[in-house]
Amino acid sequence: MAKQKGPVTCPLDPTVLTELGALKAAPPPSPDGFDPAGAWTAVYRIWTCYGHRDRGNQTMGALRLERRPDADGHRLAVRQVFHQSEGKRHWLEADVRCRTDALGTPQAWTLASRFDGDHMEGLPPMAFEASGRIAGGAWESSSGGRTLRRTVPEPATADWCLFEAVQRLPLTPADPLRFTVLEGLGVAKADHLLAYDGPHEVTWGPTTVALHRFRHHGRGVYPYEWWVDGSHRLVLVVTGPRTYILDPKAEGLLA
Amino acid sequence: MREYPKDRGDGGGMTRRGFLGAGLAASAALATGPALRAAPAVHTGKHGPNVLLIMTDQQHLETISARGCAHVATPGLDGLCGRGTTFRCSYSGHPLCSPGRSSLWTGRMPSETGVVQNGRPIHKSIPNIGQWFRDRTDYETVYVGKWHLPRSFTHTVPGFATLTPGVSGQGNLGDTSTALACEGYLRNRSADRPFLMVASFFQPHDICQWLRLNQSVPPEGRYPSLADALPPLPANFAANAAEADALCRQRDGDEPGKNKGQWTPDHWRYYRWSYYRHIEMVDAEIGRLLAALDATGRTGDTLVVFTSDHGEGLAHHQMVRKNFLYDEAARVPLIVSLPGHVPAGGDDARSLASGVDVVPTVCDYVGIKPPPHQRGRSLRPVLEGKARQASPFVVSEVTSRGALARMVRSPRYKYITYKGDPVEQVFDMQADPGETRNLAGASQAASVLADHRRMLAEWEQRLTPAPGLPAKERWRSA
Repeated sequence: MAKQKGPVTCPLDPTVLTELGALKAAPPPSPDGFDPAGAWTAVYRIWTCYGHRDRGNQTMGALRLERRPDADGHRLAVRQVFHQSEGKRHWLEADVRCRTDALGTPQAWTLASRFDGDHMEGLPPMAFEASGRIAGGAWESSSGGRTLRRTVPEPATADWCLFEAVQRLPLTPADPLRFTVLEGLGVAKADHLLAYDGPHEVTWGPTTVALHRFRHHGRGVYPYEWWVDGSHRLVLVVTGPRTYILDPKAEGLLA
Repeated sequence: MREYPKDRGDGGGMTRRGFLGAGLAASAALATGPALRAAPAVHTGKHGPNVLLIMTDQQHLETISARGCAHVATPGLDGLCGRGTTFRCSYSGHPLCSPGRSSLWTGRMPSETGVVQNGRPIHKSIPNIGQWFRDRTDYETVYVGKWHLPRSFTHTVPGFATLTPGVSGQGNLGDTSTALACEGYLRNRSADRPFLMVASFFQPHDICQWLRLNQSVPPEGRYPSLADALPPLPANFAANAAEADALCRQRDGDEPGKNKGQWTPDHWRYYRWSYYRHIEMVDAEIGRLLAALDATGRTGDTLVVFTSDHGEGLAHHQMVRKNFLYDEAARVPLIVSLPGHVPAGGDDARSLASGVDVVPTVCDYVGIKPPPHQRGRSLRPVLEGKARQASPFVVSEVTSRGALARMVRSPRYKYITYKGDPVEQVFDMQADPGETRNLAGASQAASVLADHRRMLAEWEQRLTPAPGLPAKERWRSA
């Protein structure tokens, strides 16, 4: 059947993503006894929509999160890649110590940014490493021997930490969570609000699935929709034209 | 005709050259005003200043919280406003991506660069600022992000070494990569040579994706919880009564239905709310870049110029996107910062400026002659309080829906005309900044209309249209 043409005209959700070909198979089943507060690894394919039904929509990267409980809460190991045009890739890796509270609050972290692909002769490398911590509204980030100190309204969490935290939230109506987001542990965006938005039956590839949705909006971001299954596993994140689709096969993009 | 030499795009500079001293006169392209000359460089240390040109894509003028926008939080740009001077009356050479960029990087009008539509290269005889610096200075010239002359996201940027081209079509991803590439470069470079770096962000251009994803209007509103947070409609929301045919076709062509009752007032407001979030996205990355400049000790010796290639309709006159000559699309933010040399916290609402002023301004501070036939002027005399106006008027061009249009903006008035269309527009920009009352037919504005027609005709006579530009894309027949 020929692909439809023209603008998509409505925001992305599992049903629309199925029509666009982003969701071809049923969501991966949650492992038996999945414990969102335990040890797990999740790999997401980052798929983006250009707004047209028949062109410009593609996989642009991947995100892996590994959660390991520890004595003070849990650690989150992050590995993310964005595909740049003409073959270059941008990698971000982080190791984050977190509190196991409602927001998975980050306490301290290391972060590394690097690019691969052709390296232009004579130019310095673009890779660098940083470390950071946050406590009592004081945010410190250090790199190259210098430390930058800023204040952020609390409570504060990171976008990567929300991928973990939303899986531990109750699937029942509750007061919204209000917070600041440290996006990529590098930029602060205030006035965020996240709330449970009920169960929804959606088309996903060849099947229909029952999922739960959380809605989230704030400064400096598209509104987010966090979709978890009945086992509390985060299977899909939609934020504007960008989606994170739970897909173990995306591990190949992170090699 | 000299063809500007092909290069590897490595921008590394071929030989070490000293800076030119004062006293070299360049030919002036304008009938009024002083000839361009190379002024002494601003020495901030071992070399002339570093140069950081920051560009966004499709940024409406009134989107900076420090400059009065109540609907957005922009700490990054607020900081730059605080340490530099903002020009409130700066205009794009052509409010569309490729043409506007061609003016910014060459100091020439798009009808001269040949870039009157998207996806065209600058004519090979005209150097861009990277090529000019590479051939005359020992600056390291680097480019990061969107280029669009002709390819949007590419490693091939003449005159520059490219750190990363960005993520194709997705500013929401690519701008983070752009900022982090710049940060890595600043952290790792040696200080042996000064740099000219262009950080070309893609946001808020992603509003174009938003428009395609939000054409339909759910009866209950997209996010009922946001109802109280949506900004109001602008005062000049209504379409003007008499407009050129091409402008009417453009309004109806972009997301048809929005002007035929399908978009509710709240959906228009939701579009505006969403656009301000796009602004905050890019502001966060600009803030990251400026923080990296601070962290590496370079703020004090770096000339920073921030602007955008064009604006965004944002519901004014019920327009979205760009490529028309009302202020929402044609006027853009412009901030210049060089601590100790440019007044901090300056807010200039009087001086006219244009995208074609960027190249001569940068060359002036660095102390080199600008490329020949510049159509703009250095803003340095205005910034140093030695001149009230850089230019007596500025011109902007448009090619849209097969029609050509021109705008002349003088200190008080704006004149818009479409080739072959009888409708002309004259607005009193002091009494009517929203451009809602067309004075073109009023007898008391007859002399204003005549003056602006004359200014445009004389301006066009001095331009050198790009060779090979087809007749239908030329303003003058001969």
